[in-house]
Amino acid sequence: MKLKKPNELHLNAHDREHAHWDRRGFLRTLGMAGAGAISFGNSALSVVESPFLTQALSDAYSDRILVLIRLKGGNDGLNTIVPVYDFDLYANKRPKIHIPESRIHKLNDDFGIPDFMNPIVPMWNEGAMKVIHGVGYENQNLSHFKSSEIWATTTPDSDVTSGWMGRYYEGMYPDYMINPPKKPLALQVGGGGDLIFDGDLTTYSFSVSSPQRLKKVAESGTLYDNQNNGTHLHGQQVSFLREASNTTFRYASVINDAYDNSKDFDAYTNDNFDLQMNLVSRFIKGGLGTKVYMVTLGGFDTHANQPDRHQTLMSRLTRAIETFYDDLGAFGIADKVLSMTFSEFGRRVAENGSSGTDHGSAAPVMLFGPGLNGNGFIAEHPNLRNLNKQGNMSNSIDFRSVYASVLTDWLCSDVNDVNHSMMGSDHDLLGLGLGCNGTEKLPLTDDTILPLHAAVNNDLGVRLYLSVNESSTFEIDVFDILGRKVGTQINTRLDSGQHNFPLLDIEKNRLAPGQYFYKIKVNGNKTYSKSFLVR
Amino acid sequence: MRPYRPSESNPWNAEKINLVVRRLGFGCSLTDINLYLNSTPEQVIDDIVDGASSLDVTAAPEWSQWDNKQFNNSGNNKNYYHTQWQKQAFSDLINNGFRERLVLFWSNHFVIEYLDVNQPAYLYQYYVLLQNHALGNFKTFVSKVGLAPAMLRYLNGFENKKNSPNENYARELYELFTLGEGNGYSQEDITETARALTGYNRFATYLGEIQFNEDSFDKSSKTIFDQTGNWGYNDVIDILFEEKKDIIANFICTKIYRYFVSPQVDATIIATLSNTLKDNDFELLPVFKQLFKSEHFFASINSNVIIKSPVDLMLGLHHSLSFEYSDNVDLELNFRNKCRDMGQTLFSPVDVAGWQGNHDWINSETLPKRWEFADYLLIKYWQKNKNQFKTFINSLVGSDQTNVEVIVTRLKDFMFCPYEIKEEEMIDAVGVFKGEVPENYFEDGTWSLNDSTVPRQVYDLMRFLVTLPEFQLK
Repeated sequence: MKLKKPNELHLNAHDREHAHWDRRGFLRTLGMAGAGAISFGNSALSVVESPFLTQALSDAYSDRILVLIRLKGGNDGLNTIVPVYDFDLYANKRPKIHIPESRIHKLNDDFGIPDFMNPIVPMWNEGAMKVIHGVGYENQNLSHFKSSEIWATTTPDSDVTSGWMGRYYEGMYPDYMINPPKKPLALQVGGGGDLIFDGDLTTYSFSVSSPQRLKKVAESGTLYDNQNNGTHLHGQQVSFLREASNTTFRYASVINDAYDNSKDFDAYTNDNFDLQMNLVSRFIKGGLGTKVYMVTLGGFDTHANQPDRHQTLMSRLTRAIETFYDDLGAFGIADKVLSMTFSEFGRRVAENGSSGTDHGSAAPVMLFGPGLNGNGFIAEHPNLRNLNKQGNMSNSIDFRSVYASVLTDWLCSDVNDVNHSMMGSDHDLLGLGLGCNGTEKLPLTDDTILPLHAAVNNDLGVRLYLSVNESSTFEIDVFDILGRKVGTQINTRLDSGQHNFPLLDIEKNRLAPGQYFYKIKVNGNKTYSKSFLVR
Repeated sequence: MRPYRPSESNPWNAEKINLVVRRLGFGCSLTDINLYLNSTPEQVIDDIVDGASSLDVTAAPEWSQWDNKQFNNSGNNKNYYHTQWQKQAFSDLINNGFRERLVLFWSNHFVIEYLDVNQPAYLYQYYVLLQNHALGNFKTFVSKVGLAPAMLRYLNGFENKKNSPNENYARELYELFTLGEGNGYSQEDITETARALTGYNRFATYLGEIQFNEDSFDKSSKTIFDQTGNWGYNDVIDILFEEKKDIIANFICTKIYRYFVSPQVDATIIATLSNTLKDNDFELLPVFKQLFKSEHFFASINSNVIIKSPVDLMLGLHHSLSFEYSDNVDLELNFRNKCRDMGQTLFSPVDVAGWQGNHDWINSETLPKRWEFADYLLIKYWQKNKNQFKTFINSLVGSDQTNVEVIVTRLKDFMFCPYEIKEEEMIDAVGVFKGEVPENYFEDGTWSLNDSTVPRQVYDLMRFLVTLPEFQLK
């Protein structure tokens, strides 16, 4: 498809399908055009919003929350979800470290969990737990670090330095650097910045384990001008540090406020992992509004003395999950929170000589939360009789399918955002069936007239979805990044209810992919504007 | 690789001394600058490197060879000794500069995590091994470290036996210690190597000395890097260093370069250093000297591009100012705890690959702590002796200096770098320094560096400077 380029800032987009938004270009152009001004006073520093750049539309998505639980070191899947259906073979391969039958709690006829994971049995029984068997990838890399990197970037290609959540946000918030959302997009508790949240230009997560400390930052911090630092390495490092300072300052008060707005749930212990889950819960209960959290439990590299070590870890994990959902349940929002475990690999089917296991391949991913609406197993368990020459299982499900499914079926993400996150790789959706449909995307605000408006891409162009509370007149204009009007102008009265109509017809308007803005004027005075991406 | 020869356009000055002393040690004091201003760069590097090379190892504590029983009967738990040794290490870091800088570097290369090892005597033995080989022969170093009890325990060499191999150490030997991930070895090499490394499985006494046990050594034939034979521990090291010379040299020189020069690697420099390492049969000292004496090392493009580690941040500030510190504060314990809180617990890196450094040090959790802890040190100096701030600024800029911009710039240059900071921040810095002093005092010559307001002015300016993003770089 041939496209006319309305201005020079857009990429050569020979193929719309693979058009990629280049934010560096975007930022450069902003500098040239002088739009998107961020002004800094000397003492009272503030960010002045530009007339065109406002919160990305994606903020309007569902209120569901995803908690990623990283099991660092390679969790042994076979001693987590025990293949009871092939028990003799399983036990023979692991004479010293298998879970004896008497200590297995059966989830169904074929699979069970060790008794030390009993805290999650009620969740299974109540339909708040699912297990995806055999998650991994082809040509399993047995290095902790390389495999963790692959799980984060979704590719063995070392040149890719962005993570799947980072790219997801990058696609959704192309103007993030100059117009960051009011709340942190993702929070990491109990760990540094994980590659998962890295984009090409910045990281999209905020790390916190001592929210009280943020109070001081909120009171005394400074927002730095982060332009023109130069392109040499020193300048790049200064840019990085300034961005990190700004992010910290920007979100310090909202995070501390959310923390202060909520209370500890008594049942958590002083265990470090309990403390992490407690913090996540405080932020959720305190109304922070962040949708993705990540916590980390380490120590899964069980080359020796596995039974004791693994039991301790799984007890800690399952007790914390039980407490977390009791806590959220008591608060009345458990069904809004889905938790997912993952690990860089499982472990070898056969035990080694040290009552442990060496690095393996596929392993189960566990999902928790009443929002699952039922228990069950997804996919086939890998065949214990069909191992590769290192003695490792082959995977039944590619981990990228799990990511794509969670984004699509839980966070109700647009297919374009999911593709961007997965770098266009093919992935079959697992059909988790978690109830994402049109209305899931329509969260309501307390706006009396226009609680929701969002631009949504489809094959033919961009449609504007409006939810109207009071019958009013609407004037709607679309602008390109330089503030020039493009596309259809709309001037009409709309009754209360839901409406949608074309905003940009791509064929007709011959527009290049990139950043656009719409502005809605209601009853001649109140104005709403939002940025959106044409893909 | 051209050595650095000072010239009119590229002079030897405080800025250069600051760069080299900060990177080889921790921070650079006025004393350091004065000491080295009249030396040549070559003399300075020889002084620092040879000094480190001839330094004795840290004296052994009474528990240096204890086994488990002796610790259990000692009346203290193991954490008591671990903490004691971490404090000793901080004391060494403060006193010994470059040698301990290397120990820190190697402890992040041949990683152990002391809590996994859980034997303080093993930690001591490992520590001394790092001190002994820090500037020695890399091949010998690799060979020795693999048999250190701490390593045998941490990476399960102790559990690696005939008929029941444990491949943990074999994998990390190649992936993390010598070759790099996926670089010149296969899974088969790992499996075979694990068998060759068997036999170190016998305690003389429980958690005491670890001995070789002929019976648990796998005597059958192994094929490692296409060489087949009844290989044992020493053969593995010999074959590795014979077959993979180039990869090893490149791998370790790259790591040294990233740590001491810049996160952005210069392939030509690495190639030169690798050749030096190979030409010297893996002796490390010539490589360090060649690198540190080079024009490249002192090039301005490489200055202030490394993000300080927590240890750098704290010890650097402490040594740069060399101020008196508040009494009744356990300095070493404070450094240990604060560095831990910022993500750097000595002898306990995040995982077996070590701290990755650079951007990994910085996130919204660690950054506020960096601000707070640097500030904490300044507060402790202030509580102890306010006047030292005045003495210091007088030594730095001269007591007759009255130009406020010059004073602020000189302190800024000393505390982090000669790069210009943003105009707004410079204005703020000058504002902070002027403080409560009436503006006209600066114009009419009333104010001087001898005024009673000066300690407070310098203190406030320092507290401002340590919060600037540039302070995180060295």
